[in-house]
Amino acid sequence: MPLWGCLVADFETKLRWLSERGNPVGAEELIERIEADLAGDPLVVVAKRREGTPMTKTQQPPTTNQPRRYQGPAWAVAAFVVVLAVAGTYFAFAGDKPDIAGTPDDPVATATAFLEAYTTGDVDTAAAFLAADAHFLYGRPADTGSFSGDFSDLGVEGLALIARFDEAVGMTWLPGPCELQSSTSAGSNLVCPYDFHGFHSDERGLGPYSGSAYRITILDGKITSFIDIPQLQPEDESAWVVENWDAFNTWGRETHPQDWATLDSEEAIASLIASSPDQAIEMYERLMRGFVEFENQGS
Amino acid sequence: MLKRSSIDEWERELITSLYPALRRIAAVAGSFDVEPDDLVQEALVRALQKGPISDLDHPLAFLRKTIVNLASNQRRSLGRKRRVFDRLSLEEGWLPSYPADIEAILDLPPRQRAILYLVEVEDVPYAEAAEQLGMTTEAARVLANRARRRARAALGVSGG
Repeated sequence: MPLWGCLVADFETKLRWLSERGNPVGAEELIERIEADLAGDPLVVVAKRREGTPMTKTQQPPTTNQPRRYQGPAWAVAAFVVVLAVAGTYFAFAGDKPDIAGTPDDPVATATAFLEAYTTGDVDTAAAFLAADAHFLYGRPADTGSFSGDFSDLGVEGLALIARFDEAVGMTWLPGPCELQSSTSAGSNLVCPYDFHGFHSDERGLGPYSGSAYRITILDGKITSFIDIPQLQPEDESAWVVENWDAFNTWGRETHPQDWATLDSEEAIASLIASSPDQAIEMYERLMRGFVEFENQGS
Repeated sequence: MLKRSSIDEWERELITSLYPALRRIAAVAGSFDVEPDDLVQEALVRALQKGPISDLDHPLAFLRKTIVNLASNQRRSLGRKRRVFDRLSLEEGWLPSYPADIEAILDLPPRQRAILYLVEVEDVPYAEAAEQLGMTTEAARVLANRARRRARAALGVSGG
């Protein structure tokens, strides 16, 4: 039997053992529990739980420290913004874009047109929908810590770099219909949910990942506030992170240790992006191509 | 929505017939410190709160998918607690209760464990396994391959 055959057989034994672990309560007791639960009496459920199975002391628990995860392109982009800020390389939306106004009496149409441009990398058109002093924010600072940024000063050039970076790491944005939430003297407030693919998850049979949304405020046909609230959740709680960054990280550490030395810390990648954004983008493109190829092997 | 507190005879029979298969996937996909029956119960309660299970087109697939989703969510929320618990266990000399060679499986994410179990143990075709777990056939193949590679690495098997 080939080596892999032995492994499968061994795996099958383990899986079978796992599937039969513990002491089943049986369907009858389970139905009783469910009825108690449905009746809103959780105490009954707790009381009926049987004692735990005896413990056998056979194995040390895993103690390996997991490598720190980042939120994929999110923090890299945030790092990029920080780099630009530190370097004093500010761009402004005002003055470097054509004056394209949206439809003043149809904020949904304006938001939709803006998102169509923004999510396809047409940053010139996208920036034209933004007011000169538009707030352009990423993430929820309260929830995501450093994975957020104020992009208001990036301007068209900065947005273009971000778009290139997004493309390099296989991000695809799938905006849904915008909904008008409220209208005040400050403008019309809309919420536009979106799904996304990342790390070429679409080519790898994963995703798209939902739960994200853009919050957009439009006044007189111009976007005065754009807040991108991606599916950024605390570590361990995002399928996007678990299914993509973990796999990418595992693969990269094993196959490209030298590159990983560059990618392994926020400081390192921020430094690379600051000194050579083209090199950073090229490296991500190359690694992502290898990663996708590896992931799809034999599928 | 009406509050349901009793299960009619038809649904009792359905749950009884589904129970072994549901419990097996819960035992495979769930964290080792989570009772499989608790996962099955939670999945059934959630389903029943929405309506009769017998109304579902594919109750087994629906419930297995729910169980694996619950297991995935629990694994994530248990992550931090488990790290603290691991530290406490080490300090107090307490050791967990699974056989020494099962860790390669337990380290796999729930969805990967589930797909591998369905394909390798229950001999479920990829297309059907994918339906049971709410993913495309292609995604099921990718996940199974990834699980095998991880297992191969964990078990120190080279090649392939």
